[in-house]
Amino acid sequence: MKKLIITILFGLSLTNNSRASGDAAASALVSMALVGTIYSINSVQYDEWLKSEMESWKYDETDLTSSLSRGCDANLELRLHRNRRMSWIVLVVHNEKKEPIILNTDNMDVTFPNGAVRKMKSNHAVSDYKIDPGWTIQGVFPISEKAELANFKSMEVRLPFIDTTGKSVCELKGVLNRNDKREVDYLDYNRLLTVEFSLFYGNNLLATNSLKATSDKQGLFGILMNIYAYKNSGFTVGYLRQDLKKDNELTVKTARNLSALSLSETNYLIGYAVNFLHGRQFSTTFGLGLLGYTLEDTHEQNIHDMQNKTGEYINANFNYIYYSSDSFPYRGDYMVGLGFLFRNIPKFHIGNAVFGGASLAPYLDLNIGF
Amino acid sequence: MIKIKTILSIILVSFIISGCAKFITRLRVKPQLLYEDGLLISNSQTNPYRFKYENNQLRIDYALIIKNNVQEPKELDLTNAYYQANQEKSDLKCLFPKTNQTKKTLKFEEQALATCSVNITPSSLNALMLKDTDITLSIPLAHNIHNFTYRVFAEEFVQ
Repeated sequence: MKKLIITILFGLSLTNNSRASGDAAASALVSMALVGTIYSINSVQYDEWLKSEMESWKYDETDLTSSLSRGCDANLELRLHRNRRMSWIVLVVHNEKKEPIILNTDNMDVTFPNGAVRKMKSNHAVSDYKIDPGWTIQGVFPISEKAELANFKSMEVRLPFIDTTGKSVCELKGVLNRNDKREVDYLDYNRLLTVEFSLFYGNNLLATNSLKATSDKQGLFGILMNIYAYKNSGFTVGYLRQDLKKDNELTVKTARNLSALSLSETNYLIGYAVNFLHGRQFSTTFGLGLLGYTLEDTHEQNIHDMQNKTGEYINANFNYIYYSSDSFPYRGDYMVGLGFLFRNIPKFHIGNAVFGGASLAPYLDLNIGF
Repeated sequence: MIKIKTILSIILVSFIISGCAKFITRLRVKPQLLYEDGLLISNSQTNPYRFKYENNQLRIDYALIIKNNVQEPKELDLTNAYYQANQEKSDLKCLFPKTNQTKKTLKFEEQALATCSVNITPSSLNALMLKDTDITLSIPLAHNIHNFTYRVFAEEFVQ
């Protein structure tokens, strides 16, 4: 009850006194709902964050990847997390000194057992970072290719501290170890997309029936969304639109004998999709499913006839990843490529004219994958 | 044609349903990474947003990652942990979930996870609503009692 009263008061404070009480109540309800929703989302997100650690890097004693260490009068906690696309090191440093310490973020690195050294690139543009006495800082450092981690059994994180003149004074080190006794989770080393948006434009190369007769000069425009729910498999929803050319022969063949027949077709796609990422350069996607096909016969902006059919499609898509980023807010794979869309629509008639048929359309596309 | 008002109404109702279902007291715990008595202690496994209000009781779950950073083995005994808010004090149930025991010996460089939970009674909740309050979880580790503090924000909502 107190919750409700406080919320309504909060809502009232946001509204003008002269407004109707209905507005105030609505405002209170909205604020109440928003606060509760944000709270619940935060809670779920943190739980998900805790669950997103690399399974094969968890210690048996804690079932966590968390690794604690100490040096330079500072405490360090390292964790190794991953999502579908990337993995990252979470780093927490607590200053126990009675004076500030300066972390030289430009020279932080990770050393692998084979001697390879990688700079730790932060998501945030910070240079030397001052940590006041008793303060704790946290940083997130993406690992650009998580598949590489499968080759290593440990990694040592090195954090250099400097004084105000820039001279190195101390190094804080921590180690993350792979646990060979644990099962490897599929997400640990495989880089996968979660959602992919595609915008494409193409034309029919091979076609039968009306798809040939009506579309050889007009382009096919479409948008697709692939959602990968299980490993690299998922489903596609899409929308394709094509304004067909005006064809005198078809006009004569139809029963209405209109002076100019104008046809347009719409396709709704729903089906299965599978994606393969080849390193950071290439991506291929294959899909097949059902196609809802609508042909509209319009004259002077009035629809004279509309035919709905259910067909099938097969889609193949080859993309070059021209930009890939793990840093917010540009996180994602940006791709350009080409694809082939095969459609099969059952035959049907308008007047004497035969519509439907099969077509193969090459297209160019722009993709963003997350 | 669906009107924009209908869509907005649906969104609003969805927000209200999902939001109201989750109203509980807002507590905050700040990240802590301590070094005391040769032990490194982190509370990063505690979800600062996760508290359950059920059967008129507020439940707090707390987790600590502990590492022995010195050669001498450390005897940990979580039996006498307690929680305190204002003048109220009650038992805090802590254990090592891996063994389900309250006691554990940590060797050099060994790590362990300890979890604690407490159910706060309605009378405590009323007290908490008076002002911003600190809830202190006191957990004995090795020879010292370590205090971990939650700040309760009274301007938030309590059922």
